[in-house]
Amino acid sequence: MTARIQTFPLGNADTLRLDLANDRKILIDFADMRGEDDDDKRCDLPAELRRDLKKSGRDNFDAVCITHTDRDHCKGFADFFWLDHAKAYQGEGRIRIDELWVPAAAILEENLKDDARVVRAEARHRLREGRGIRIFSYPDRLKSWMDKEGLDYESRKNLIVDAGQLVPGYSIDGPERAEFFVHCPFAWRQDENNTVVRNEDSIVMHVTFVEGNRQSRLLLASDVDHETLSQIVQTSRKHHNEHRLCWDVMKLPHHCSYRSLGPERGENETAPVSDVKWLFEDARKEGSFIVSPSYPIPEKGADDDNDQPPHRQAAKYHRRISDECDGEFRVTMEHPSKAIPKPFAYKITVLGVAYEVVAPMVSGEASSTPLRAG
Amino acid sequence: MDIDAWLSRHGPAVGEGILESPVAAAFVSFVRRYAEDVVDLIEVRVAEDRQFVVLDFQTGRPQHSECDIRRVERIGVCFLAEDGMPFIFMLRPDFPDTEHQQLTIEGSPRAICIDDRPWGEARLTWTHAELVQRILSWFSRAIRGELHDARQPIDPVLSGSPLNFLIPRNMLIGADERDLVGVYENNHQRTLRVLPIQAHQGGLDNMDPVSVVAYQVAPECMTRMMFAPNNLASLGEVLEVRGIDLFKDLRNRLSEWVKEGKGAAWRLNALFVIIVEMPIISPSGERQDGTDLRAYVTEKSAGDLAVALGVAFPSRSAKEGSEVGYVPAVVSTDSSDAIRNLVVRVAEVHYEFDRTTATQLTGRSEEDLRRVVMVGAGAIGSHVSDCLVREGRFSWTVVDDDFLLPHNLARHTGRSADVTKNKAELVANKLNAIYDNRPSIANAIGANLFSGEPERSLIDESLLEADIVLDASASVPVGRFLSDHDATARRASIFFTPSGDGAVLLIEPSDRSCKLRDLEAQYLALVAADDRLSDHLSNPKQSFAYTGACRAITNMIAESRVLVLSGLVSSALGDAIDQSSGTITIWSVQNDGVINAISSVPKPVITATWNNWSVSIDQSVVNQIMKMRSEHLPNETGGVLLGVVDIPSKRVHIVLAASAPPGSEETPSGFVRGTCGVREHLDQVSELTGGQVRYVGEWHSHPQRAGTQPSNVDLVQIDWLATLFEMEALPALMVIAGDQDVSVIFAGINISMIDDKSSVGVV
Repeated sequence: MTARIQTFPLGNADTLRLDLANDRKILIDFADMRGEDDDDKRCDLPAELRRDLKKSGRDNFDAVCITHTDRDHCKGFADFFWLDHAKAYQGEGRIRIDELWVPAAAILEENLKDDARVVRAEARHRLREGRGIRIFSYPDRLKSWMDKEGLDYESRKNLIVDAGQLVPGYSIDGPERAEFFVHCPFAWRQDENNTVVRNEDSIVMHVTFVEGNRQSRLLLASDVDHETLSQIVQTSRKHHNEHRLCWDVMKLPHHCSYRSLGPERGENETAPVSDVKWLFEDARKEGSFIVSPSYPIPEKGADDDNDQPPHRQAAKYHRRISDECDGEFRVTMEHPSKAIPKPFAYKITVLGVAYEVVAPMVSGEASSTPLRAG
Repeated sequence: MDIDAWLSRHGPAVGEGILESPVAAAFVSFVRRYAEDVVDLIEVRVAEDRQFVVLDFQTGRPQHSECDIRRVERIGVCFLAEDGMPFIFMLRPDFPDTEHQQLTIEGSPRAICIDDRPWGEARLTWTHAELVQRILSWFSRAIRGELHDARQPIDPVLSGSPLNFLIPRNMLIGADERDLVGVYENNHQRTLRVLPIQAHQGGLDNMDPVSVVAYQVAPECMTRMMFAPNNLASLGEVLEVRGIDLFKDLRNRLSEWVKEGKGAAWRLNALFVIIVEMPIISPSGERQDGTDLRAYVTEKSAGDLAVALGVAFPSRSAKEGSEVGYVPAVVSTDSSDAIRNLVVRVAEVHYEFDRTTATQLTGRSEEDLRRVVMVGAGAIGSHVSDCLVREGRFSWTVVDDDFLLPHNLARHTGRSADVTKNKAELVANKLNAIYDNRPSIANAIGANLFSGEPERSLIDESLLEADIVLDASASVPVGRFLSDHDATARRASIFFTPSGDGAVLLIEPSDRSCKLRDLEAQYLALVAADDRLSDHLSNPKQSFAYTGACRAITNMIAESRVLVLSGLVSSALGDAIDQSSGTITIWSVQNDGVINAISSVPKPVITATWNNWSVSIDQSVVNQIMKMRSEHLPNETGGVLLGVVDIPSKRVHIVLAASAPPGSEETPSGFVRGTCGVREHLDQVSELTGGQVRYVGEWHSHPQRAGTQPSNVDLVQIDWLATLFEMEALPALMVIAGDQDVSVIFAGINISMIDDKSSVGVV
């Protein structure tokens, strides 16, 4: 089957579903943002995910990656998933997670509430059990925590993935025809800081898909800022891994925040710092796509033209550079219209990545909707 | 080209509410409600006879594409006032040339073909959603390089003429020297059948004078058409770059006609049509199969054209050129404006049906001119030959002395008026009438295959010259006669079963290593041995005595069944004749329409002759005997032999060797064949094969290293067999199997070795 990248209109929040060539399904973040209000234009994420799983006749994801435990990346986690660590999360209809991917910070951070706390509890439980988990990075504090817990490192080191490594179990030569290269978090920086900086210690990954003999690449930049992005660029250069930064699809960091480009917002257009400029302009392939997981881009002077992302100046930059390379810039809450945003997807084809256009047909609708008769 | 200027010719951009065409209005409403993921509505335009909906269409193009399709293409969906398929224009001046596009006139944007169904059919299921789906699908295929049809159709509504011309292929050559007419049916004036005036037998009221000049663009000069010419000047330009100087040629020809005067009056006053045959070229410049044949209709007479080209003047007085209407111009004048103003409309041209078209339409590339002698012009022969001629096959000689009687019409290609005609002549005439042109492709010999002179030499000559001899006589003696004839042609036999529920095709391998006779025997063996064929030769359920005489009985086989089976036979015969291996194929149709086909490859045959008798045994029977022998070692084993006997020809063909019946005594030193069930087995085979496979002798095996010479016990047995068979004046056969081979023994008769593996014993 064709591999796909599925997006969801969730406001300023992240969730992507990757459908791999061998039907493996990987969720990158889970943020069920929709409120009670009928006018809320954000999609009903659990319903969307369940419908897709049902179509595939399954009730699990092969992997769920929580890039960091901010609310806009894990809201609703405790309600949607079957969790191993407590009976309270094991009711009927919950979706199982074969492998949970979290940054080390998600295990170590203290004073958490709500879903972040539940993610931590589940991750800790799985790490104790020694299965169904991948921890990204191995800072000293994780070592101390494991020592304190009496967990043997040697028997669990296969669960740890460091920056600069591929996530085990996925290969462009395997049936999934995809692999995940980890750029972030950096263990050394966590050691220097000695406190958790969630956004900057989050998971940044580069996915390579293969269809036919063509590679297509997706950069998942979670919520990192321009400094972390620059750090990633410099580290990749140092290790001759620049090709792991080339991209055909970019999941924009931090909902189109100018902070992910440079320190200054700019009057009309944000200017990126040089390493970030390289990432967005030189590492970008012809005809490539930027997805901004955010609310619509505000007009200048409008109420929503404020400090919160998305920033119109950043969007202006992204639009301009997209136009220059026959690329596209698409906002999750703007497509197909701001009035009725809908989930959209990209297909990985032998001719590169394509925006998935589906002609409206009665048969298409009917065949993807269960019909009930009484 | 200037898209905006072109669009503005289709009326002003208006509000959606003003759309008059209900189809266009409904489409806009559909787009608004359901298709905003795929399209953006840009504007609508309303002209007198058409309404335009302009859209930006998401093509779903990936990062790379086989051709220059953009992520978003502006398209114009054109709804005509009169009910019809909407046209899809690509509103980008540099939209690429691809397959599956219509040829539009110069100055129009490109138009894509999204639906090749006729509108009358498409409209039954046509929806707006399907329109969007088809456009999207066209883009997807273009992007992946999966559009394949390089033809460039011209829709009559866009720029064409409603006329259709039918013309024999060979008439295009020298068409300008003939006086032609376009004949039409009274109620169908759009389809003109072009004939020489001499060939037209009707009156003047259903024909128009037509004058045709034809050109053929040489393949090496052909480049792909970019637009359809819509006036004589642009046609001239199109031809000029493809190696044809249209105006020079027309001036020459037309001035000759004008000078010829009275003799060319017909042509000068006829509707002038230029027919151009062009090779089909793909967008990438590759030559495709087939040619593109189009007529450019001027709506003027040839004489008017001569005037426009400056080589003639209209005659002014009654005296000068009164019968012609035109007089030659002494000096030809510049005429470029006049030519540009001469509108040409593109019309469809169809060649009359001939062998070339028949071959192409069947999907074959080579014309099949092989000579076939078909013996028998009854139900199967008339249908199968009709079918094969429509598929472009063969030159035919039909042999039959029978006459068409009324009851034959139940399953024959003849008509009521043909009753009493000789079937061979009737069928040959019908075959000739399928193709338009001469020379004829079929002739008849209205004589019995076994006739004496003078027909004898005619029949023999035909058989000797044939490439294929086809027995369609449903007669065993005819099949065997043809098998034995000196002709070198490959033989085939086709027949229906008596019940009409089955049909059979026997075809020899091309090297004739297995002859029609052998195939007949192997076919009967198959019928005797295969459970699926237990009803194959059963007697017809009902028969009909058509004169009251008891031999004049015809079977009750329905024409519908005859058509089904003839179709199967024709198709398999056509396929088999193009390959070197032979086949025995048997079809059975059940009452619910299910068809079973059983095929068998002809098996090698070993034949020995002595005196006037010859005996054949299939290698597969020998193998079967050897297998039974080794399964029973160290004991001997044996059983009865069954075969086909032809007494007049003195031939026996052994087709089956039965295993030892229950109650047989099998020991290392001897074998006694039991009797239990033997009679029943022989009766059953006889019944299954319509009495054609019968008991012909016995076989048994010898122990290891014992050889295949008959023992003393065997000799006694052979003696008994010989005596027994004397009753029917037949030879008795005994087969003895040893370590390596078998001996075939004629009772009391010593005959020669048949090959190094199998030998014939001496008694």
